[in-house]
Amino acid sequence: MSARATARPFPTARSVLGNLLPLLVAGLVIVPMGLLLVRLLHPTTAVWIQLWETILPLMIRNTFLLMMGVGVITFSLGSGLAWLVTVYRFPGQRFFDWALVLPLAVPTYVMGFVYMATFDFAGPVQTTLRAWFGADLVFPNIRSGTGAILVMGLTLYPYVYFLARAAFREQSSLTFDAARAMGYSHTRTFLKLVLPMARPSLVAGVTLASLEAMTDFATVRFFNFPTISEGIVHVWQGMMNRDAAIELAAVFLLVALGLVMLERALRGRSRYYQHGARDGRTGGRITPVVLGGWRRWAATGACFLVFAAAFALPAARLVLWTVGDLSRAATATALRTVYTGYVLRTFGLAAVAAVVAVGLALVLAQNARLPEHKMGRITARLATMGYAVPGAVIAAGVLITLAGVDRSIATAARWIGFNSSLLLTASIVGLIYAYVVRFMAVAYNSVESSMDKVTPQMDMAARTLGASPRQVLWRIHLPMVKIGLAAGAALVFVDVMKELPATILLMPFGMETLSVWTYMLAAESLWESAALPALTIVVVGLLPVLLLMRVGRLTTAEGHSA
Amino acid sequence: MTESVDRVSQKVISLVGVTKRYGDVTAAHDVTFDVYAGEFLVLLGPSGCGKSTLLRLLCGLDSVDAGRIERNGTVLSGESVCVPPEARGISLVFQDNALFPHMTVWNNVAFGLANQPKEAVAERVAEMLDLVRLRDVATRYPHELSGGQQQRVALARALAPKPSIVLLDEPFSDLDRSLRIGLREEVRAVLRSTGTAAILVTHDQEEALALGDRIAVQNDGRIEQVATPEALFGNPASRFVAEFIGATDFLAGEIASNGILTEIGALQQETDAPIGTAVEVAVRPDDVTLSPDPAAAATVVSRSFNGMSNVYRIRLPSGAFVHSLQPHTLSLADGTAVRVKVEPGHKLAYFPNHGGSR
Repeated sequence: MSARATARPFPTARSVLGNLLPLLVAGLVIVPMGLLLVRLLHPTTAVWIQLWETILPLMIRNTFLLMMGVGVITFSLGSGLAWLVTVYRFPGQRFFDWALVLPLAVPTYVMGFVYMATFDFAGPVQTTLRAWFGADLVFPNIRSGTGAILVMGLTLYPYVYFLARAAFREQSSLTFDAARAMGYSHTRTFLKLVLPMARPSLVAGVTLASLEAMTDFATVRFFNFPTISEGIVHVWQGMMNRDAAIELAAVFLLVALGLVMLERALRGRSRYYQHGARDGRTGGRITPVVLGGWRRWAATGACFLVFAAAFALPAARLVLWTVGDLSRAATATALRTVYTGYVLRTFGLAAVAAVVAVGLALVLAQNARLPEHKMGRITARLATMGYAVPGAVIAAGVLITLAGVDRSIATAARWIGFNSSLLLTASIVGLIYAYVVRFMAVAYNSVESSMDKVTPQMDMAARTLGASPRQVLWRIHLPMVKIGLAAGAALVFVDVMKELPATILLMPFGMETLSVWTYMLAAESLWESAALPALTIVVVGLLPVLLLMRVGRLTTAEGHSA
Repeated sequence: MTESVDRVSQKVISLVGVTKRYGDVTAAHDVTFDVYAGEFLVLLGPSGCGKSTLLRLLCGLDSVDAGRIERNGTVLSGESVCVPPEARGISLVFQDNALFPHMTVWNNVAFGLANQPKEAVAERVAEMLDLVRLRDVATRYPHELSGGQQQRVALARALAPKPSIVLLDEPFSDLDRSLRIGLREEVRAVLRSTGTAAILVTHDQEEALALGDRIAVQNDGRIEQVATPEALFGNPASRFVAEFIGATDFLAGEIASNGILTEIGALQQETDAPIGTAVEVAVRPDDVTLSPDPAAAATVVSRSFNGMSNVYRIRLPSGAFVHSLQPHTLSLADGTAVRVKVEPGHKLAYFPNHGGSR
């Protein structure tokens, strides 16, 4: 009888698979990270000493400064603008409300090269100023840490803006009115009440922005401000020293994991996953205040300034360059075939990665869904930690994982008389693998939030109405989550298209993507040529941003993208 | 307890010694009862008493550790048997209705008719929607309906595949009081008209008394009593049942030769315990009369006015409290000294007093 107590009512193939599969998915993510950390146990001392004595201290300092600087800028811009458009009414408020999210579609390296081209010594701004004020004009050097921090802050503030905006909207007008009734001014209410209450969202947004700054290597390279990410790519590609790059990546991984834990601590006991403004709202939204006099134009001006600097001007510049480039008939025809090739390759890679990521996310979410599956939620959390790990680090982890697999395959192949050395390492498998690890969280959050709507009672109702577990999946679960799946796939697609560090390190020969193409041309200061692929990335990237703005669900879906 | 219901008809569902443990917690302990054809049985108990576990066991979402569940004589759950939910012919209606949000009302009701010919499905769905008076909203989606309508759709969906029994899991508790009473009458009428047996799970004793053909009271995993509402009210089998049904006070007393002695007088009734046994008598507000008397030792502590009546809370000399139901015309101030008598006009239930007098 005691044996019966533990027996499952229907131990089908599903429940066996259902328990094993999520663990395999989590393993897929954890193994590369684990192997990286194991590498730290056997450091190649010579390389370390050399790194320490040369560039490493500077890179660590720069990484720290960059993340702090970007954190401060994105926090101020993001929460300030969100407050402005949520609480005040001024000319253009409805437009800026959504338009201020648009910079989310611009990758940092695109913004970086546009600003570089515009404000550098040879750029139009300095040239014009010299023409007006003479050649001895002193202009701050844009190729600096300050330049990099400013440009990245301007690109990444929407992470904070979007989450803060959603959080402010969720807040009840009752609390707000109560504070006002106790004699708090608007500003004081914001500082003392609204901001602290939105802390989980703000911390999440700032963390995402900082992580994004940490993973970037191209922008900081343009601005001559080497960080650890830049260092890994440099050691890997420039010095052709993969072992040293892997060790560097391992250390970086420790830093990233520390950061995630810090974020958890800062969020306090608030729920980790943000949900959209849909429940728990009592008393309606905060009553907006119509600004009058100079204030209304000051508000409009502030929003316009940020929107212009972070989106309108760079976008206009990209369009003009592209038009200029295409208007030269000689390049136009040659470009068409090249461009088509890049687009097809990029879209193909992104589509495969999106489908794989969403498929695996579905497995994880199915497993974590039921309240009794505590293990499933832990598994899901582990499997989605890639969002916090810089692309270059994931590339290093994937490389050593696949190299290990390749060695096993090669050993096995020799047994049967084949010679295969780099079967996986040199193929797009590595690239897809890295994308899936990096963007699993994006897919998972979409799938999970749509799965929330499927209650356990619906399962029970369907089962008692004669549906088998398989039929429940097909007739209830999939139809209900398909929009979430599509949204998740779209987000992963765009993120893959924008991804640069892992792509540049792992792409097989001849598999250059749009992002790599943009970077290569920009690195050669070929701004006009770089504009077309950059513009393509921005335009495609805009689609899901606009779509999700409309659905108002970016909070859940983009919650962990980095 | 006396099983006054005389049944010629058949048992639809039988639970025999059903036991289920989760770790250290015994959620169902030796549960035995039957549900007869067309019967409306209410499973009543406080939250956490194991009602939900019984539902899960009944519809096959969990296996039993011991005992068996039978439908029309076939074993559904038992030693090494656990018929899966989809093959049991037992339907469920939930508190949150669990309608499928991506399907119209029509398709929700048709869900359980998957393998039947099209015409038969259409006919059955139409019939069910007529039964719950929702034919005109057939093409709408669940979120476009009111709470009461949603619950009626859920009932139609559950009845469509002609289950041998419908399980109703607190289906009315999310609704407004006014809506709740109307809907529960309607649900009961619908079930009666189709002759479908049902088990209603609830923690609301008033709902249980109003709806149940019979009531099974569950406490701490055990079934304390299965009886008609009247029998349950008049003859509670345990102190728990007495306490849970009706606002019951317990008076310490002692068995005497002609009844029970309490501090507010002797109750003349037959007893079957030895003289001198310490007991607790279950006293309800309608059993207690009172009259103002400056010389009396009991006092009014508070009054709660319910429109048609007043319920007085009275402190007895011993410090124990009883409640008394009085007409709304009798209005006494707090602190009034009153003479209290127990004049039930029927036998009162009593239970052995194990020391803890109140």
